[in-house]
Amino acid sequence: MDLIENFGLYRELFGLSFLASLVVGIVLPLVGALMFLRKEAFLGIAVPQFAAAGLALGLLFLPWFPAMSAYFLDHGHPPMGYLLPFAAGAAVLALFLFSLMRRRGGHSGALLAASFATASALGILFLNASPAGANMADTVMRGEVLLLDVHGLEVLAGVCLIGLLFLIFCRRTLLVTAFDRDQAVALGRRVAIVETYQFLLLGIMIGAGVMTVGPILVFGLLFLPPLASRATATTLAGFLRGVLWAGLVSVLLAWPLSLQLDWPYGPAAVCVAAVYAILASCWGRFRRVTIN
Amino acid sequence: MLLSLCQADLGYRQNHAVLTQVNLQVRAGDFVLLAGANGSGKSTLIRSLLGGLAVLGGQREVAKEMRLGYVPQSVDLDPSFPVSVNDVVMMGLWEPGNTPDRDQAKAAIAGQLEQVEMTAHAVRLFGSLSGGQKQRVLLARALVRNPTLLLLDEPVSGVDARATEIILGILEQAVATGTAVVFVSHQPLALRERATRAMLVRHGTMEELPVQTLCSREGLELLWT
Repeated sequence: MDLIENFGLYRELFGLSFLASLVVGIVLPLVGALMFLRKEAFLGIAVPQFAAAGLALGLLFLPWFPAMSAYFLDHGHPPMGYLLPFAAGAAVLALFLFSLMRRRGGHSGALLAASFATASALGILFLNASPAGANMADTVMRGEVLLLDVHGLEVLAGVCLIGLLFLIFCRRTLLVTAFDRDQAVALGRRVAIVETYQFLLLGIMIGAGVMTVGPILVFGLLFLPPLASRATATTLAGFLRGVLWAGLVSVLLAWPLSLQLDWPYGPAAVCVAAVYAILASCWGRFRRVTIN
Repeated sequence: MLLSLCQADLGYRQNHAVLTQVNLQVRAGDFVLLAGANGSGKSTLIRSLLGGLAVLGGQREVAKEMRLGYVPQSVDLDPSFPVSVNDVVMMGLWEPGNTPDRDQAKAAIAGQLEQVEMTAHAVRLFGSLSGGQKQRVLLARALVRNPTLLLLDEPVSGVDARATEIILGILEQAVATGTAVVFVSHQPLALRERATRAMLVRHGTMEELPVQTLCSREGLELLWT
């Protein structure tokens, strides 16, 4: 009731954050769907952690750039254009390293776990050494999308729009490569080039997501919607529609929970997505049992 | 000539060729049996024929009019991929610059599924099919783009006798209409009556043998040693 009565106030206060939640609710699940289909979901755990470490490194270096430090003192955070290369660069680096590991085979699972631990440790050490970073990092890590400003929204929306356009224009190459790489080559598709751009854009999108809405929301939106959709989908188009729907439901339903119960937005959205995935899984199982 | 490898060295890294001095010319209407034991370099050869691996030395030439249809081993594909039988065959039409009319695409897919006797399974999840059914769907995917060259990687390995006959019958029809077939297998006997040429991959290179020789006791001994 309070939510409806104070709708105007909430819109004024959280309008930008609401738009940001829609952007990540649409784009990140589609990005995650691609990683899920390529059986690279494990990257979704480690890459955002690398992006978070990159973000912490950016905060550590902040005193070296007086103009950035001044901006930080005025706004409570450095310019997003300053942080983006750190977060996105670390994410791209991680994707590149993981692709090398995969090609060489061996203990890629153990290497991935070790990388995750190392990235987490570095992130904490960088923040510990950073005079400016602790408060801001705490806000970002908690997924407090409510504090996002127009500058942050512009960066997030710009990066996500480019990524979304790439996913749309290259969807056939990406999907057929995920299913059967040799078939994509046989069709004459430029697999290597598209995969290179895909790595770069995924890294930048994950980096932008981590520095604006936090790693928890990025983790959750990358993989819970594809899991939910996989449980019920019987066609590729149905799977992608389901991913989009699950992402949107999660980010929209999280708003009343966050405002009414005073939950941080990121964890609220992830919990909604998890409940959605569990219900979808039960429904998918029920349907299979009744059909068979 | 649809596809030609001339004195080609094939592999993943320069100075580490898996196969050397490979010669192969594929013409319209050829039915080439390409046999080799496990680990002999067949997969490297397939990737090179597909164009996924650059030749390290020698030449690879492809005719402009060549359209390649590829049938992998179904066990190499992710069974949990959320894709229906219709979707899989549709992927055969996803060549760059080709946006087929929806009705035409549907008709082409339905026609190919009928040919491989999989119409009744069109809306099922690909991962829920048996091995033989999957191979037939993958053959339909390859055929839907009217290929001039069909490259098949162990298409009847682990497939029951009926599905094997369906697949081989369709390949015979394709050859009769001028399509070239390159059939990779480590069990050549099934093709003794059908193949027109035979190649043996072993000891880091490839040699051409008469089909009857490769399918004889002597040929099989060569294959396994």
